[in-house]
Amino acid sequence: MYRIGICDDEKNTCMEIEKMIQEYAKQNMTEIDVFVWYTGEALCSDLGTVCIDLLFLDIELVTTSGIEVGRYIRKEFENHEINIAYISSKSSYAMELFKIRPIDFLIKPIKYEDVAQIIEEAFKISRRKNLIFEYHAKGIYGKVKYSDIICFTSDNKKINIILTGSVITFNGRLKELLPSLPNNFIQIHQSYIINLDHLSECTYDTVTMSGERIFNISQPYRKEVRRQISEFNWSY
Amino acid sequence: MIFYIFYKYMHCFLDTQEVNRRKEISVYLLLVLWFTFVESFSTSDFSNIIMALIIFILTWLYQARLKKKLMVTVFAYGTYILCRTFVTYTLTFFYYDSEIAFLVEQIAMLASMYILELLTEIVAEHMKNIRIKMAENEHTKRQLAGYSNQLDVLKNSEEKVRGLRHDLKHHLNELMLLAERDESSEIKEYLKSMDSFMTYSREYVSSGNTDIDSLLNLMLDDAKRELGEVACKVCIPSGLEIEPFDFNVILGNLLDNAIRAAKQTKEKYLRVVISYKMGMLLIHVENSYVGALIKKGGRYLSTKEDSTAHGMGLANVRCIVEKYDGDIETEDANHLFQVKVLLYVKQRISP
Repeated sequence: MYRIGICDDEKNTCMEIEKMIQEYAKQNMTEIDVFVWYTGEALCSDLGTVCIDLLFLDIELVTTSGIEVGRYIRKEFENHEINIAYISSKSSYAMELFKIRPIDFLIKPIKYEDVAQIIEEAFKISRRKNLIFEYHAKGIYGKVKYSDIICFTSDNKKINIILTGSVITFNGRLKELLPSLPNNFIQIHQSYIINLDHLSECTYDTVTMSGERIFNISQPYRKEVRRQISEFNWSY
Repeated sequence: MIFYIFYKYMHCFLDTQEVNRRKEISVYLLLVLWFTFVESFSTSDFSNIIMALIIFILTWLYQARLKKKLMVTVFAYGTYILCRTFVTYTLTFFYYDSEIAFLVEQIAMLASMYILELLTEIVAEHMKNIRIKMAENEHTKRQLAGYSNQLDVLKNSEEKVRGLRHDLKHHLNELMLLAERDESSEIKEYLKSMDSFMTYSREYVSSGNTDIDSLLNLMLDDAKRELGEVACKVCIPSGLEIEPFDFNVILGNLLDNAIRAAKQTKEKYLRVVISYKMGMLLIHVENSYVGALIKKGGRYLSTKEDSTAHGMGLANVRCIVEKYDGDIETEDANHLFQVKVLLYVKQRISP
């Protein structure tokens, strides 16, 4: 079951988007649960109990702005999973918004095609995120969700899986690991493979991953990394 | 020595960026060796023809059109002959001893050729500077036009809003009357007309980046006049660390090309998407086109009438893209031409 949240102080906008989501569900024969909040505070206090996959969030909420809500979700709540689509009536955006890594922006008046496109995109991402990575360490077979993996690093014949809160080590070589990974994993260095879903900022020679981890892209990989990152972003 | 001068000539006139350095140097070395051991310099007609041939062959090391290669050959050979005759002629007055005369002649000849070559290089450099200035001028003009258009747009939309506010009481009254009569369809109609009155039709983009907005509004206004419907989506933050000049070159050229190509098609399709993600500015321009695109050496040649500007636009764009360590990709399929540009652009830290 897919869960979509809407947070806007204008009741009509919420109703409109909800109608579009139901329309989308009907056309694609899927079931979607819709949750509606009218204030940022209500949304934030519910986040602990309600788990949503996609959130349509108004930027110009009256008491707590959409930027603050977004920051709360990413920083305090440390949730990088929720796809946030911002709603706004004007098309100029503050830099802060881009740090929250929104999936897209909706400009009022809202069109059905745009909403459908965002849901489609979010579906694609969540399918990718729910895949499971299996490894074999010290005689034990382990499983971890790909979406929890920030990156793989290697030293000698060991591979470290860097997760949001912990590190798992197993025997293997990155070269053999890479072909079996989904295409959002790319190699940026002889001993680093990163998950593009955890990329928060990049330049030609460095990447910043979630948790402010910074990695260098080594010289021979730079052009190829740029190509892969751009291809990954264009597929949006 | 003479070949070094020829080498300088080639570098002065031809595009020497995509040359295999090793191949180039070995060809020159071979020539030098051949001349020191096999052939010795003589002023016979036969060796003059050989010299001309050699220059022409040398031009084939580089990428250029045949016409240009021929021109370079003629020019280099011309200076060679000119110096040769000049030196021989002047020297006949002074020396009679053939050994010394030959040596002096060679040296004087090389010196004069080198000086001529330096002169041409200076002239070429100067010409290049002038060309760059002209391009800058062109862009300043466009930017200025963009700004004045933006000013117009802002003034007009401001006036519209002011006008609406002025009549607000009247509008509210009207709406209240309609609401009292429960005429929802009429209310909708009335609101729609108010909305269309308020939104100024020539403002397509308002991202908060004055430079980007003004250029886009101007170009999209042009596009709309030529093409009808134009799809455009711009989602970028307001403080981006990109030179307005650079952005101008990229978008100006891409949109110019796209509008020109789309104009000739039945669909008249143009779509512009500009977004910012994780430190990257992404520009995507998509347009319909008819006819075949001519590709040469991995680059598109334009189908423009005046061939002097052939492919200049995209070359300039490429140049700017490189400055930002970025990447540009083109794709054409099913009569749809797409350009995707990626630039690494930092956020301007606001004071």
